[in-house]
Amino acid sequence: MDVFVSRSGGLAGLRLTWHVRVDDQPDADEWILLIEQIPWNEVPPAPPETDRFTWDIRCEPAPFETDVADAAVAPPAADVDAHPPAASASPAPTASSASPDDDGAAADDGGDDASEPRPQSGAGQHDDPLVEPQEATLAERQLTGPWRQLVDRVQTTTEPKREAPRAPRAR
Amino acid sequence: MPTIVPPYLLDRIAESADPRFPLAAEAARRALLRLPPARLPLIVPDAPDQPSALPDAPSQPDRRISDAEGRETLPGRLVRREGERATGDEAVDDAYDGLGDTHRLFDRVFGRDSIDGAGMPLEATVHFGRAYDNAFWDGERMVFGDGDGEIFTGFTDSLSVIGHELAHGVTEHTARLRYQGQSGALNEHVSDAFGALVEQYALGQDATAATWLIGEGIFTDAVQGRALRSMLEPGTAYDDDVLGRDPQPAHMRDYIETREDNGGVHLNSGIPNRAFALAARQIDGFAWESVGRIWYDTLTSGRLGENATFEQFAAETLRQAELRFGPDSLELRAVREGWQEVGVAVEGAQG
Ligand SMILES: [Zn+2]
Repeated sequence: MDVFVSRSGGLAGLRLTWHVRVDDQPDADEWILLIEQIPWNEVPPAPPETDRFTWDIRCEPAPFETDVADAAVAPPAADVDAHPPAASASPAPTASSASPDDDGAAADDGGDDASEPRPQSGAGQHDDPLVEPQEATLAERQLTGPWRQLVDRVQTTTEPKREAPRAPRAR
Repeated sequence: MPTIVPPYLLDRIAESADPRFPLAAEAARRALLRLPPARLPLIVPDAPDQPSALPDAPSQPDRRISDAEGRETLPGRLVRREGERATGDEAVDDAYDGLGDTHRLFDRVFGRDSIDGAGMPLEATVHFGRAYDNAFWDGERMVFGDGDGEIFTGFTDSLSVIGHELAHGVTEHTARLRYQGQSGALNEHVSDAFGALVEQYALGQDATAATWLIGEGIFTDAVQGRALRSMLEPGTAYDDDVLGRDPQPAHMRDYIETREDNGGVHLNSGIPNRAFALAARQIDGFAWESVGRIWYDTLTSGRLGENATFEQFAAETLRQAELRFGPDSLELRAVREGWQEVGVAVEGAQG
């Protein structure tokens, strides 16, 4: 499993990225335990705060079989577009439900609505497993609990890379 | 355009040796040299809506500086209130002084008492987090990290950064530009613009003498770079082995589409930043008296939508330039040409 973390924004607008191959870590089991604690589906949309960092955290493949209904509400509004980073060589094994966009798109157009925490709908019980990457975008003040522990662990394991902003428009 | 600082005050500044404003005296001397003597008496009285723009005119801020003591808890311990003497803690005292300089610009030049225009306390927290590489406005207060010491020194080391953060509060209380995409880049731009003006005002610099840099002095000596951003030449502020190269675009053709950074708000702000700096340089003189007034009028016009685009914002600056300076003014022409230079479409004809 690969863990990708990126930090963007901040007053300086500098982008940092970290990448950890969990399988290569001597304590891989602890990594997996921590990642399984992460409430991927419980990230309420956060109002953007001026000059604060934005954290993007992604595990691929997903750490466990994910319920389709959960996956549909998992990504925050601005975060529904798939965007494999350059470093990612591992193909996502399935695409059976690659369009969990409806919920995100609905939240995306009403700008003001996004500033109010939106209750997450409860997890439905479906049988179809999904092993697409798990990903979440967090405002800095949402980076708490197991999210924070994972980021701390990533930061102590590897040095960040500084990369140009992703996907600039063609000139 | 003549300066609105009364010549007798320019005289006083030019002769003064106040160490706090080493460049103000020089700027006043230059301003005096530029003034045709015959026009001097005409410009002494200020219009009521144009309060004195003297750089050392005092204002009455209500500052409260707190110390987070390395934690990420706000507000932290209150360590310096208005009127209290310097603490000896450089971050505390720099924040205190910087908030005073920023309050003075808004109050003396734009007639705005504090962030809300009603004298609200200016609250700041310093020593936030450990080696925290950032400063931000959280909706209530300005928060400053100490930097990691390798790339960043403390974020209170730059007056333009302090002004930038306070200006976020002003935007929040006026145009409320939504912090996403183009309106977000405008929100960032407005903070850079007023951050730069705070520094120029405190130093008494005119548009030609100004650096137009944001965050000068917050990189360590190890970094190959002048500042976080250059308003005049976006994309050239730094080029460093570790940090990479300043990614800001300077023209609409290079506008960056990204999901990150709320849609690249700290990147695409380079485009309006350059339009602002170009207009200021074309007009010359003290930028707070020309583009500063136009931009402040735009921000407080009540005519900007929260989702304003670059084009909508630009159109409103033209409207405000014409209202304040007239349809045939240098100011209007310079603002229009500034936007055109960075590829933001504006009406060619004056309204
Ligand atoms: Zn900002």
